[in-house]
Parts: sequence; structure tokens; C-alpha cells
Amino acid sequence: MQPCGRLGRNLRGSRTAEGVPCHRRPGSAPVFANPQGLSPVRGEANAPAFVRKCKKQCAFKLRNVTKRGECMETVLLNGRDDAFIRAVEESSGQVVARCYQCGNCTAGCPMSFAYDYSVSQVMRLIQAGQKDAVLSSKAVWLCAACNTCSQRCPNEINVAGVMDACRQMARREKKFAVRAMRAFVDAFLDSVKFNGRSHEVGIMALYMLYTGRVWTDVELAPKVLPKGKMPLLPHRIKGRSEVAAIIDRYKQGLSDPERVRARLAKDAGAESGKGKEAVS
Amino acid sequence: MSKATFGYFPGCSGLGTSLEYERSTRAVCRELGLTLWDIPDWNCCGSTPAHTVDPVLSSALSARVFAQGETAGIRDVVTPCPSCLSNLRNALEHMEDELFAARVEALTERPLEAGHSVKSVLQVIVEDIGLDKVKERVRRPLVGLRAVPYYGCLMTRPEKIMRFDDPENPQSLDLLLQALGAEVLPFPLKVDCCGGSLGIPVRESVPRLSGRILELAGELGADVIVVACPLCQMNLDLRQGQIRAKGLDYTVPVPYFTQLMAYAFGLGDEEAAFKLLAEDISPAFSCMQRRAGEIKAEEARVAALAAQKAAAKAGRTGSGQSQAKSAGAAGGEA
Ligand code: SF4
Ligand code: SF4
Repeated sequence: MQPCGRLGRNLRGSRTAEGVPCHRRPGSAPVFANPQGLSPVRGEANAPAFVRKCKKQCAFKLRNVTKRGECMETVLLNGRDDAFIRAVEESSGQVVARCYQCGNCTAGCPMSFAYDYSVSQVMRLIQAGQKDAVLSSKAVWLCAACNTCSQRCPNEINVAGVMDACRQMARREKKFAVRAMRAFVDAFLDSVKFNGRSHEVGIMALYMLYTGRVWTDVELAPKVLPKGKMPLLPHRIKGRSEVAAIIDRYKQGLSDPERVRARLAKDAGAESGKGKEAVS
Repeated sequence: MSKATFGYFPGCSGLGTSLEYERSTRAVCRELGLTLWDIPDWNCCGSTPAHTVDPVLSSALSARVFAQGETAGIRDVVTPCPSCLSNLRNALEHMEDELFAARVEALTERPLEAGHSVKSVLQVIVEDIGLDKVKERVRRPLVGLRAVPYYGCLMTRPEKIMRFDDPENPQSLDLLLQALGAEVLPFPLKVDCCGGSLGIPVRESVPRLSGRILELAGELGADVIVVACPLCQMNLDLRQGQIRAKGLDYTVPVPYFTQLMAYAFGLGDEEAAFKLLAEDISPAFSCMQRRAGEIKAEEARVAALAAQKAAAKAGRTGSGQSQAKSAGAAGGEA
């Protein structure tokens, strides 16, 4: 192929250095005409428009910046927390090392617009054992659990399950990057505990109480109240004490895997002991 | 058809925000000869908040539902709500694991027997009853209604657990609506997320995600978005006013598929319960009637033309060469 003599991108799309002609067909218009040339820019003064400045005044004035205009973060790989990786893998049942960062999950994630780290970045941070970054991220709380990521992962990782596991862990470690989310979950479960069923009006009241956002969605009330679609009183079930007991036992930690495993082992031991007695 | 009796789990929203779904589902199932037995004293499945906290807690709440079913001899459960379905199904799948089952039992203190199953109402109608039977029951076909089906994210995903239809391009609701006589437009966002319960804690999520769905449906010229999930319906219908305030240009009614079935089966207003929707559905029906009129007129025109041609042909062949002259005259008239 003949070089066209103009500066720009070569056919593979990578930039050509200053003075090096690109390899497009002669006569075709340059895809990328930049008066500054396309050499790697070092000085601030030479920066073409597409290089944005990091908004945080960090040591690197010009470098790759994210959409929000911040420097890409550096992750120290020697701070890897292996116990964290194992914990995530155990509770989600997934092998996070299988993620090869294709970004399919992020591309399909409906909540990406609100995330601080995208889903694939969260996966990478888990691989790098960055416990703090993951558990204090907004992403794990904002995930809508829609399963799009799990469906589209080419490595069949249940990514939504991994997000769920991280969120549960963040909850246990009392890290609530999105407070409103926690308030909503608490309000919902309290309603279930009181009534045995969820009750919208009660949940909204509790939610407003927990967050102080008093007027959340009240403009919707005239649309539903007259139609009887939001009963003001809850439908209580007879077995509500049973439901409350489930939630209480959970809070007491009766379902902890260690505890249950120990009990199972004890039961098995007792049974085999009995068996021996019977034989002797 | 395998079984005609199912245990029924309405879900909490069935008593409140999705009253219309609940009523029309019961009516439609009765029409189709399905007997629904309510699970006695059922409790909330925990929805998304419970599995946000812990899958064991979520499964324990579901396990109590199954245990309650057991007391009434119910093994096969149907539920209209995909979110309940997802929780109940996940609980059954996870409890195959012994340790997990033991952890759940530590919370419920009610051991479960084996052999439980759970399905969605849509799945039972499409798979167990069959579309032929639905077609037979149609009294008022929805000819002329332009509908887009919206499945929501939980109905078919994750694929391995839900085991129903295609996870990215499901067809069951499309086919069902076609069986009712409606014109179904291809809808690329049929399994995209509507924002779910995040509408309350993260306010911008629903206008953004549900707004996209409403906008595309409006641009495609759909009369209705047909849904199968109470949460999607609430986001698309009840919050449509909020979304319009943020710049949406369209008004699209969002009925449940069972409401349209009830209408097509010729059931009364009480069963179809269109009055309970936040966005009025009558413009959609008047569009449907106008279009149905046009379709009928067009069909009549085509039929008349065909008849004329046939007559002309018959005249030509039947009368032989001697009357070719008059046949030619008839041809000229046509
Ligand atoms: S889709 Fe799967 S492999 Fe690709 S980045 Fe996401 S988790 Fe990793
Ligand atoms: S499950 Fe969560 S992370 Fe995955 S695509 Fe949905 S919102 Fe995004």
C-alpha cells in the first residue's frame, strides 16, 4: 500500500508519529486531522483538545483520564488480600480468576451510569484482592441484580452473584457507601418482620423515617390510594411470629456456615456412635 | 396438558399495587380450566432486599412458603410475579446443596420434603395449557392492537435457573399476544432492566431506564406495552408521570398480559380491571378499533377484487369462445 503522505491514523487505527505518513489509500480524506500533529503529547501547551486535564490536581498533569475527568487510579498489586478473594469465591461459588476483562458485563449493565467502578472493574479489583476499594464502592450497592452481566459473560461467571456476595460482605463489615439503599432494605425487612408480608405504605413510612427523605414519591399517592391499590393497613398473616423468628434467628447468627457445619458434624458423629453401640 | 391444579402464591404486590394483575390472572385461569389453590397463610418471599442481605435468609422465607404449601398438600406452585418466582426458584436450587439446606433449616426449623416446583403463570399458560387452547377461547380478538411485549429482566434470567424461553430474545409473550389477535412489534428492549426497586433509593434510575423503554415503545408506534411483572408495571405505569416531567413525549398504557387475555376472552370490566391502571387504556382501544375497521375494509376490498377476478375467469373459461366478446366486455369493466 502506498503511503498517502498525510498525517493521521494508519489503517489499523493507531496513531502515526509526527512526520511519519499514514498508510491510507492516496486521495482519501484524513480521518483525523489535527493541526498539532498526532505525536504523543507531553507539554501542556501542545495538548490537543482530546487530552483532558485531570481535575484532581495530581502529580500527573496530563495522562489518561476517565470520563469524569479524573486520573486513572493506580492499584498496588503487592497489597493483595488473598483471604478476601477466597471469601468472595466461597460465598458466590464463582472463580473470579476466570474473568479476562472483556467488558461484556459493563457494556450491558443498566446501572453503569451511577457506578463509581464499573462491574468489570469490580471484577478486576477482586482479582487484585483490593478489599477496601470493592467493599466501599457504590457499585456493589447500586447493582439492580438484573442478571444481565451473568447472562452475557463469555466465561459463564455469575457476575451478579459476585456482586451480591460483595454487597453481603460490605453489609457485614458495616460499609454502606449508599446509605439510602441500606435504609430501603432495612425498611422492607422490618415490614416483613412485623406483618409477615411486605406492606408498601409501611415500607415508605419506615424508609422516610430512616433516611429523613420525607416527601419521597408522595405525589404518586393520589394515583393509587383511591383505587385501593395501596391499602393503608397491612395484611397481617397468622404466622407472622414464625416469620419474625426466622429473621431473629438469622440476626443471632444461627445460620452461620461454621456453626451449621459443626452441628452437622456433631450429629453425624452421634449417629455413627449410636451405630457402633448397636453393633457392639 | 399435564396438571390442571396448582398451588397459588399471589405475592405481596397482588394485594396492593398489582391488584389488576391478581384479579385478571384468577379470572383467566378459571376460564382456561386451571384450578388455583391459595397457599394457606403465605408470607413474603423477601424480594430483592432479602437476598441483598443473605441468600440463606431469602431462601428461609421461601422455604416457609413451601412448608405452608405442604400442609395443604401442595407441591406445584405458580406465581404471577417474576421476582417471587426468582426467589422461590433460587431457594429450591440452592437447597439441593446439603449445607445450604441445613443452614436454611436452622432458620425455619421446619424440614421440607422433596419434590417441590415453582413456575410463572405465563409459563403455565404457554407450556402446560398451550396457545391453541387460548386461541379457542378468544371471543373478542385484539385485531388492530399494536403491542410491544416487555418481559423484564427476571423472567428468563439466569438461564440455568429459570429454564424458560430464550434469555435474550424470549418469544412466549409475543406468541401469546399473537394468539389473542394483536399485532406484535419487534421490541429490542424486551429484557432490559426497568430500574427495579432502585426507584426509591436512587431516584434518577427509573426515569432513565424505564424512560428509555417508554420512549422506544412510543417511537415504534406501539399502542400498549404488555408486561408480566408488577415491579416493571409500577415503574412504567405509575411513574410514567414522573418520567414525562423529565421530558418523555409519549403516553403509553401498560397493561398486564392477563388483562388483555381477560378482555379477549370477553370477560367483564371487573375481571379485566383496566380502571386500576394509572395511564388510561381507552385511547389504545380506540386506535385498535379504528385500525381493525381499516383492516376489515382492506380485507373486504381484496376479497371483492378476488371475487371479481374469479368471476371474470369463470366467465371466460365457462362460456367458451363463442361468448369471448361479452367476457372481454366484463374484463374491460374490471
Ligand atoms: S463479562 Fe465476564 S469475563 Fe468479561 S469482564 Fe465481565 S466478568 Fe469478566
Ligand atoms: S446484575 Fe448488577 S452489575 Fe450485573 S448488569 Fe445488572 S445491575 Fe449491572
